[in-house]
Amino acid sequence: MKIKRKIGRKLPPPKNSTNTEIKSKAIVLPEQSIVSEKAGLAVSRKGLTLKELLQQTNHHNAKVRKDALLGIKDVLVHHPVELKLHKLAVIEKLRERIGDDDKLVRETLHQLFKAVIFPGRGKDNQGPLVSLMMAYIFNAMTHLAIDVRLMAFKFFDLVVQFYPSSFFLYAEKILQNYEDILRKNQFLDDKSKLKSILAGLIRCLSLLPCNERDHSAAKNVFSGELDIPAHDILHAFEPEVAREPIGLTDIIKPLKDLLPILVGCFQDFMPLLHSSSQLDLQSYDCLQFILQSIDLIVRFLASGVCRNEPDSQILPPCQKPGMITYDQLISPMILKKLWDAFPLNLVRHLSGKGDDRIFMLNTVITKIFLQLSNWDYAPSALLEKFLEFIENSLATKVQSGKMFHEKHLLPLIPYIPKLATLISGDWRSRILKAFTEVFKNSNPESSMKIACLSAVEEMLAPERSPLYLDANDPTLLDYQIAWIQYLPSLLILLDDKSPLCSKAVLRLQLRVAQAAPVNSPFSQEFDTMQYSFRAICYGPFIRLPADIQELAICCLYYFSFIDSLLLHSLVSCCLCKVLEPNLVAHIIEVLQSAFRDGHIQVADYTSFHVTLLSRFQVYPEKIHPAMEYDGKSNWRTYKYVTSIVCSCLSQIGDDYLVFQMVEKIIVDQICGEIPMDNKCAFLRLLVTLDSKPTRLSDQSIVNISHVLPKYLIDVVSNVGGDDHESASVISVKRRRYYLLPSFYLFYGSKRLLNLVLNVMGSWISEVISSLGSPHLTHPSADRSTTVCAIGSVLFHMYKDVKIRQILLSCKIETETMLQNLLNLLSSKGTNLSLEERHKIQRAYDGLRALANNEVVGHS
Amino acid sequence: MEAEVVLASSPTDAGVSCWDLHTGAEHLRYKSCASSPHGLASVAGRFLASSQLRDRKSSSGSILYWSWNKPQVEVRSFPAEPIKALVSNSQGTYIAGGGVSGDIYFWEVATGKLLKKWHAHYRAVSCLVFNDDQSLLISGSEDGCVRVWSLFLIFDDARREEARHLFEYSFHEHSLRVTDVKTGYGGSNAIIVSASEDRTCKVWSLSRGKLLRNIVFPSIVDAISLDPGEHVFYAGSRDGKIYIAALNSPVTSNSNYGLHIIGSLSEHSKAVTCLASSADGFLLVSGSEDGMIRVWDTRTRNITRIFRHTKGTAQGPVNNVLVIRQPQNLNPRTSANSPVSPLRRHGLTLPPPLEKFANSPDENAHAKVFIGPQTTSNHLLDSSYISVQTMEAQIKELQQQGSSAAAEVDIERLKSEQLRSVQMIQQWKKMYENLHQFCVTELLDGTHTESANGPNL
Repeated sequence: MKIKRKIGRKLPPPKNSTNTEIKSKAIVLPEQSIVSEKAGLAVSRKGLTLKELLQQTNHHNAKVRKDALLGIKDVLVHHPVELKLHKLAVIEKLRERIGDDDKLVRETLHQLFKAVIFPGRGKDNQGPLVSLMMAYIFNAMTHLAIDVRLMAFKFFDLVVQFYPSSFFLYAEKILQNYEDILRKNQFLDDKSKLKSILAGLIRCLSLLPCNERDHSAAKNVFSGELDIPAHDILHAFEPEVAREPIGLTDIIKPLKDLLPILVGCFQDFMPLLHSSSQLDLQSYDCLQFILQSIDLIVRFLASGVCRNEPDSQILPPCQKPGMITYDQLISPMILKKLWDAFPLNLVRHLSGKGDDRIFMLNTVITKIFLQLSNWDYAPSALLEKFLEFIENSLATKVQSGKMFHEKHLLPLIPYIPKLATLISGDWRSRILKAFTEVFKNSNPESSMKIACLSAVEEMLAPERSPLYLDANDPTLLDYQIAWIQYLPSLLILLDDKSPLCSKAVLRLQLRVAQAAPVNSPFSQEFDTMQYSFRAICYGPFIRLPADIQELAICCLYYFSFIDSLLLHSLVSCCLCKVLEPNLVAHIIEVLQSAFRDGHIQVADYTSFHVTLLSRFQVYPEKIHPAMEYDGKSNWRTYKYVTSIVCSCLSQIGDDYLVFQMVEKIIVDQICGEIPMDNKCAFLRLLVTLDSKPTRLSDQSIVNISHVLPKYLIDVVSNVGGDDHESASVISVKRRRYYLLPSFYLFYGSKRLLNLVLNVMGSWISEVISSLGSPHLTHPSADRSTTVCAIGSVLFHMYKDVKIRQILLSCKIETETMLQNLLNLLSSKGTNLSLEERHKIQRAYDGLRALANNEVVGHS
Repeated sequence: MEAEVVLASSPTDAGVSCWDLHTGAEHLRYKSCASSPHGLASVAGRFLASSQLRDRKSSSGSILYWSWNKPQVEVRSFPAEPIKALVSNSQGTYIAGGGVSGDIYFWEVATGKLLKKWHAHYRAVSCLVFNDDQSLLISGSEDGCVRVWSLFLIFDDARREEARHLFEYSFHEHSLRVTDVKTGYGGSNAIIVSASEDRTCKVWSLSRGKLLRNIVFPSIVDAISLDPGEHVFYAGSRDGKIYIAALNSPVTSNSNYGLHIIGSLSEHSKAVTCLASSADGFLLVSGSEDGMIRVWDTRTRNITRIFRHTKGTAQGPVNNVLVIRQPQNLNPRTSANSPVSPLRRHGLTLPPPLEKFANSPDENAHAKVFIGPQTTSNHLLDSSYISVQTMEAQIKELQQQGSSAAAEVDIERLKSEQLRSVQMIQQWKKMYENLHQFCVTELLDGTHTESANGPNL
């Protein structure tokens, strides 16, 4: 049978096949479908993904749009990663809402940008983001609805807030937009809107660069720090800073256009001011913002920053362009209306609050006026109006002492020096008088004080103003002297309460001192300053931070004389435990320089050093190696100070004369009752000044020989201990430090050694005699230790090669001493304990061995 | 290697001692010199000048000159006030001195004229230095101020009146006396380094006029010396160490002295008061309070030589060291006693003393004629000074004397003219002859044709 097959046909299934299909009903799992699709995606509280939400922002229903924005906020807050990944996409979509018709939507969007999107971004590339936004912001700024336009300004404000540099990219256009919106006199009814616009404008304008003079002058004084790039390589090329090209010249025109409009706005408020007795807060704020904007614009235009000068680095230094006034940019007519309105007054002033507000506005206007560099050409009536205001306000400030006034007067203070330079006659002294009052009476820790100090510095500083020490102007000189005289009391008043202010005062003092010619009134005033610091510890010196102390020390150099009282107070500073050793050294160094220049008398100078050495307290008394490192021991400082004093005194002049001069003082100190450490310091000083053979007088040698044995015994029994094996390296070194100066004395004078040996020998025989006597004069422990210590001293002497040679020549003394020891050991009827006897025996044996060794070695 | 000598002086009256830097041989000792710090200068290697320490009371200062081959002082000048710092420019044409009142005096060496004097500082000038192109003078003062003066401005009366101040820069950042200032290479773009008693050294930029670096040292630095490559500078301090501070390396603050200080040279001496370095920068010479002059090898940081300035037991401190190229006529000590040949003596007249006061401006500008010293230096710069009068006279003479030279030129010109004329004449002659020939032949031919035609007519 032939099967006919057709192509494309399937064979029917065989009849005997098993059906393997599984049939079942659909299984419905209780599961939320939305979540399952979006597994792993970030969703909002309502379960919508970012993508869906973004789509919804285009929804025709305003409520949906708003909800979508809220949802986006929700997502981004809870999943910050989403923002990182999709920020440009998100912004691209959201920017369309900037010009949204619905107010709530716009508000929500603003919130979203403000709270989430802008803060959430790192420092990465901001260019695309801003440019994405700006197109729509500009669009909205020209929107028909006023509300949308207002909001657009708010958005721009936000952008500037987070990316300040973006202002300069769009400055010209933005300023034009501001000009347009402010031109229409439409906000008198709704002042809050005007306020918000102006707030944004102020933010932009405050970004304008201004002349560094007004600000850095004050800054330099008070920080005192210079911006030194510490990590640069000096001869390297300057790092290429990616500078945004700021087309400042392009901004000038829109700024100039903006100025009359702002003045116009200001004028719009005038009727209100004249009609009502009370200035409400809203209009006050508006007025303030308007004036601030004008102030900022004037500051920029007057500063001349906008003129791009040729790179001054290329020019030789002498050809740098000087100050050129740029006031031509501001025509006097524009601001005239402002001047006419000044001073603002309420018709009936009832409340103090209103007065304060008006006062504040007046100060801002005054500041605008003073910022112009050509105000001194202004008509005299106008000038007087301002001067009167300044004088009055400075004076009232003093009377009322209100914080409010102080805060708002602050911006006027930097202009005082300029006023003092440019105005003349009666007004000058009136202004200076008022200023001096403020300077003296302001709270010492306030910023007012600091501003005043900066102004004073400018008026005293030689380079900054031509009026420095103008002998033709006795009034100014009087004020200058009054300021200088006030400084010390201010410093004492400040104490350690305001280091910033103290530093400013000291810097000013230093400047005055450096610049004051010798015998000028200034230098005399400066010299009299020291009388104020005679009080204990050089004023509040000790409690101030180290950098201020450094400044104070530097001031010392410039006193044309330093009297003993001040030196006395300096000694007590140096002895203060809290003062860093470094600064102690600095004080001594500066005094040395002052001495070299003849500012200190020799007697005062030496007594300073001697007092320092004799009063220096070394602690802890008990020397322990571990104490060295816990910061408590000042032994190192002691060593340091001693060496500095030695070198200072040795540099006074001719060695011989110096020695003669101080010999008696030093010997007296050594013979006096002072601790071992100070004795050591004086011995070192003596050795430094002395030569070989010694210049010590016979009397001094005798005197020293009385105390030296005691000193030596103290050293060997206190430092290092008798146990030579266990003594650490440190204590051996330290003992050497104490013994060495006396050894040097022995090198110089054999007679001294003789005498000392005699004294020690006599002590031993004293011990023997006391042993013989029935009544014990010394407790037995003391006897043995004295004898042992003498043994130990001799032992150390023998170890020193040079002393050993001298000892050889003093054979008689050594022999007697050994004999004495032997006597002591062999004497009958002594009540030496076994232990004592053993100790003495050991010392004797050791010495005997050494002495014999020597004899053998030399024979 | 060119022979270099070390000169050292001290504030005590111990003279100026002189050694060969490389061999250590001692040269002549110049007597009676008690120099002030920074008060020793070699005037272009021609002679030695030093400002002297005076009694506090004496109103006038003193500057002494020595010629190289005589130990005695040859010229004494008495400026109006004690001079502290003294410096000469590298050509030896000017000497600048800083006075105790803060004035700077500027003299012309050849005539001794006080060209200028100006009030530079509020207190005494402690150090002075010229920059490497000699156009700027940098001064440090006891008031802690470092100022940069442009000599162009100082001598430009018109511009000086316009300028608000004379100085180019005034650096105030030091709080105490400035002890030393040094400049690097690069004219007005160089760096300067200043040291002060406030324990800092500061590096400034001359081009930008600002502080580049502030280095705090453990002790007061009294002297600095710049490495010729400006990689490091050496700071001799009062604790007897010479610190090495980095200028051009990035900050490596693991040194135990402080930021930028990379090491020290020390030999437990007393305070280091002055530093100088050899021309190649490999040897550093330090003078110390203990009267020793130590020569250090900067590569190994070891001492290679020690000189003792003072004799006997007296330990006079050293306060100036200089390293200069050996002057030609400097005799080693051995030959110092041999009589100086009259010829050489003749060639070595020193310039006249420096004047005390500036001349009034109305004085005739060319009143003084001075024939400068014949420098015996081997490559003699043609530096004889000729007064303006002489020069004017010469010019006039040249103008009048146009005679011989001009005549020669004239003759030359006339000769060539004559030659040309002769040629011209010959040319004309030839032309005439040709013409004549032509005419003659024409005439002859004409007659001939005429005669030939005649019968035809």
